[in-house]
Amino acid sequence: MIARKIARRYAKALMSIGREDGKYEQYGEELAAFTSLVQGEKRLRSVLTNPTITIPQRQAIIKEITQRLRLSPLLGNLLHLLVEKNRMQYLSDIEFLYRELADAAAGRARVKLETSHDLSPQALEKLARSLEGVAGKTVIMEVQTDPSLIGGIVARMEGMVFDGCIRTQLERLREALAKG
Amino acid sequence: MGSDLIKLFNFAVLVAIIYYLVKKGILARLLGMDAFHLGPYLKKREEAIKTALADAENAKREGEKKYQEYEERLRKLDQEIQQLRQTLIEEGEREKERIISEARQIGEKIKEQARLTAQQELKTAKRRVQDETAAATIKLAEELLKKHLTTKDHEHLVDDYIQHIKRMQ
Repeated sequence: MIARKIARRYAKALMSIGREDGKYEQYGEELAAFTSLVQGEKRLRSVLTNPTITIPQRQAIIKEITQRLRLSPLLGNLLHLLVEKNRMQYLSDIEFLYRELADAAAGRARVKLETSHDLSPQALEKLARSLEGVAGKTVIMEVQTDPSLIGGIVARMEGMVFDGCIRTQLERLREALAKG
Repeated sequence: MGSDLIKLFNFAVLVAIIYYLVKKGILARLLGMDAFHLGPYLKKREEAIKTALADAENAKREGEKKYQEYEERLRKLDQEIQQLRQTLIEEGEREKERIISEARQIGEKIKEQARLTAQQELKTAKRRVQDETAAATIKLAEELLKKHLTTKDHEHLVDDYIQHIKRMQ
C-alpha cells in the first residue's frame, strides 16, 4: 500500500511533465523498455537495489544504460533520482501506474483477452472495434491463449469482465442442474 | 437309706466344726478379722444382699415396663408399617405414572428427531445425487466439446461474442 503511494507520486510527477512537453507517450515507452530490461536481468536488478554499492556507482550504471538505450534526459533524471532516494525497488509499480495515467490521458483502454483458440487478425480487429464501442476509448489488447476455456473468449477491461467462454457456461449449467 | 444317714452325720460333724471354729474365733482369724468384727461383717453382707435384692426387683420392674413399652411400640409399628406400605404403594404409582409420561415424551422426541434426521439425510443424499449427476453430465459434455469443437465452431462462438458485445453499446 505504501509502495503503491510512493510509486504513484513518481508516476504522477513524470506524467505531469510529460503532458506539459507533450512527450508522455515517449516517456511511457522508454520507462517500459527500461523496466523490462531490469526485470529480465536479475543481476542488474540486484545491483541497482543493493545498498552496499554506492549511489554514485549505481548512478554511473544508470547513465551507461540511459545512453545505450538512448533514453530521454528527463527519464535519465528520474532514474538517477530513484537510485539516490533508494526507490529503485518501486520501478515496476511506477511503470504500471504511469501506464494507467498515460492510457487515461490518451483515452485508451487496455484489454486482457483470453481465448481458447488462436484468433485471426480479422477477428481480433472486430473484437477491438466492438470493445471500443463499449469503452468509448481506443483499446489495446493483450491476447493470451488458454485451452482450458474449451471454447470462446473472456475479455477483461477496466474492471469489467466479458465472459463468453464455454467453461463458464458449463459451470453455470452444472450449478443449474445441481439445484434441480 | 444308709447313705442318707452318712450324709446327715457328715453335716452334723460340719456344723459342730463350724460352731467350734466360730466359738473359738479361729474362723474369724482365718478370714483375717477378729471375732469382734465378724458380726458387723455379716450385718454388712446382709445389707448388701438386701440392696442387691432391691436392685434386682427394680430392674425387674424396669424390664417389665420396657417390655410394655416395646409391646406398645410393636403394636404401633404394625400400623406404621401398614401406613408406610400404603404410602410407598401410592408413591410407587405416582412414580410409575411419571416415568411412563417421561418415557412417552422422550419417545416422542426421539421419533421427531429421527424423522428430522431422516428428512435431512434424504435431502443431503438427494443433493449429493444431483451434484454428482450434474458433475458427471458436465464432465461428459466437456469431453465431447473438447473432442468435437472445431475451429469453425470457435469462429461462430467469436462472432456470437462480438454480436453480444455490440448489443451492449
